[in-house]
Amino acid sequence: MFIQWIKGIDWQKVGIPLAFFTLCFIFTLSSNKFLTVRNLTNVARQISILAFLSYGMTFVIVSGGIDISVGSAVSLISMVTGGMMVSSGNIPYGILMGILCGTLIGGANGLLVSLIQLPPFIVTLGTMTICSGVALLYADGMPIVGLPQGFGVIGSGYIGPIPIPVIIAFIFFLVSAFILRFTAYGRYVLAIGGNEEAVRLSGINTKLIKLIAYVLTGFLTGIGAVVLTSRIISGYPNLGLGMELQAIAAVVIGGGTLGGGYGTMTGTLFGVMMIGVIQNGLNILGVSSFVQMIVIGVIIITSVTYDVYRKKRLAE
Amino acid sequence: MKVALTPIIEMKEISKHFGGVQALREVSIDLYEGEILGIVGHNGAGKSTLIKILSGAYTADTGKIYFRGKEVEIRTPKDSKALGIETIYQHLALADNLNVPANVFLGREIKNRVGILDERSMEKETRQMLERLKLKISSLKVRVLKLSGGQRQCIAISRAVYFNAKILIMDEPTAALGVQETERVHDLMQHLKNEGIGIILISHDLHDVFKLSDRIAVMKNGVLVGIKKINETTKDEVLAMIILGKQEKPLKQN
Repeated sequence: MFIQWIKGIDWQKVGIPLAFFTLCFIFTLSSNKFLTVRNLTNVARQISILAFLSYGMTFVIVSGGIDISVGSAVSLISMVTGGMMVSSGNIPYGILMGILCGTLIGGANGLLVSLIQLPPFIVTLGTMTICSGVALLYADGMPIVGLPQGFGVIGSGYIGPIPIPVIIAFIFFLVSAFILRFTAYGRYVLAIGGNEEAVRLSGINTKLIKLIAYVLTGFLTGIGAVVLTSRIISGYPNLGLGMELQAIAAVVIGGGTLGGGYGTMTGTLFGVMMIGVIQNGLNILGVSSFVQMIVIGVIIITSVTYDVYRKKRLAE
Repeated sequence: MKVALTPIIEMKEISKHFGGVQALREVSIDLYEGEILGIVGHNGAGKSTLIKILSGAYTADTGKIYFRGKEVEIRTPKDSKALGIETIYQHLALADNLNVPANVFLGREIKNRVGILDERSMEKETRQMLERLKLKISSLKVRVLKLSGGQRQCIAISRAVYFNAKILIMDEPTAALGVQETERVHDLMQHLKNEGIGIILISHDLHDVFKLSDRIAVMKNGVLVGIKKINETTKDEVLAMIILGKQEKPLKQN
């Protein structure tokens, strides 16, 4: 009976949370600093930025695309937000401009990928470099300081015991998960990842669906970047360095497949938490950040291996 | 079933050329309710061009199309679908990563008032549809990936039919399938025919065409060689028509 029970488990759903809680358990045993309210609150706040990027990345990856421009976009959005806020002295204006900037970057990616049908990797490699360049050009490579202090509330404030970024990230998690799981749009994103031609023949405007996925990513990246800019109350031209890879890693760890068709928002959220906890736990244990990079790399390869294995088994 | 006097679809003197190549020269075919019309011929005979004009992928240079006796214009795939003409493509037109109801309702999902997908209704309707078409699929919740090629092709076909197709165009529907799987698709075609749906079947397999069709249209080099009733012809005769492109007096000496 026990064996039956084991066989009945859907590892695809259980595997990631199980790994996550095992990891938490190990860190708890290894250090008494890990399982404290203060530390966990801190981790939650840190990963909330990555969460925004990863939600968007989930849509894009599930639809069969990729967006490696989000990291550089964060840098550029940070500069735009900071610049606009300083020049106007108006906090909401700066925030809006930042989110708009992100949405436009997403729109540009989406148009190039869906209308002109360029490969997403190449397109976003291009926009990544462009965003990086513009971000550095914006203030000649210097950070933008002197933002209104009130702006810092978004990144550093609390509602009750919970950091505001965590609350925003959670709300957007619910919205994103809802879209992917319960709406026709989400269904089309998954279907396109599975067989784009079939979706097109069903009379669905696949180009529009893909365009929206990139726009969503840009929009969410905009929000993440604004929150992060608020946290440091300055525009910083290298703010998002390497974040695209973390976001992709989060989606893949969470069960999303590069090439499309599979992935859930809950999985991605666990992927994000996994990355956050690993970094935090290893920090607490005094493991250098260089070694952390290696650990995360190994985890990515492991989850992709598992994914490939699973696909093979399904195809039998 | 074959008593209807006007054909459900009639293509009259259709011509089409691509650059200097005359792909079709005044080809006329018709199809009745509950009939399977096989179209055979070598590659480049114009079969695909002909059905692509019917499905709206191409437009004819000259010629007319009548739907139930009334002249219609088919300029886009949408026009064709609006008339109840559905095309089943050679490759499987399903998203393998989704389950059966999701595929059946792809592009016409049932939603509740706030726009949330109504999975339960879609599953229920899918079950009813499969029952009506006598298709057995153990679990609707599995990804289509886990089903056999024949089951998938059947789902693609029934999906087209379920949404009020009157005419099915099938281009090599079983080319990628094994014997048993082919049998499954054939059963479904027979069933659909009995329900009064007209089917145009393009196939290289003369055996299949003879088994399923009521009439056979033979094409060669963009010209209709002839249309034969299945019980008034033989495989040899049809083969001769395919090869010689002539109707009278085929190779009968040996």
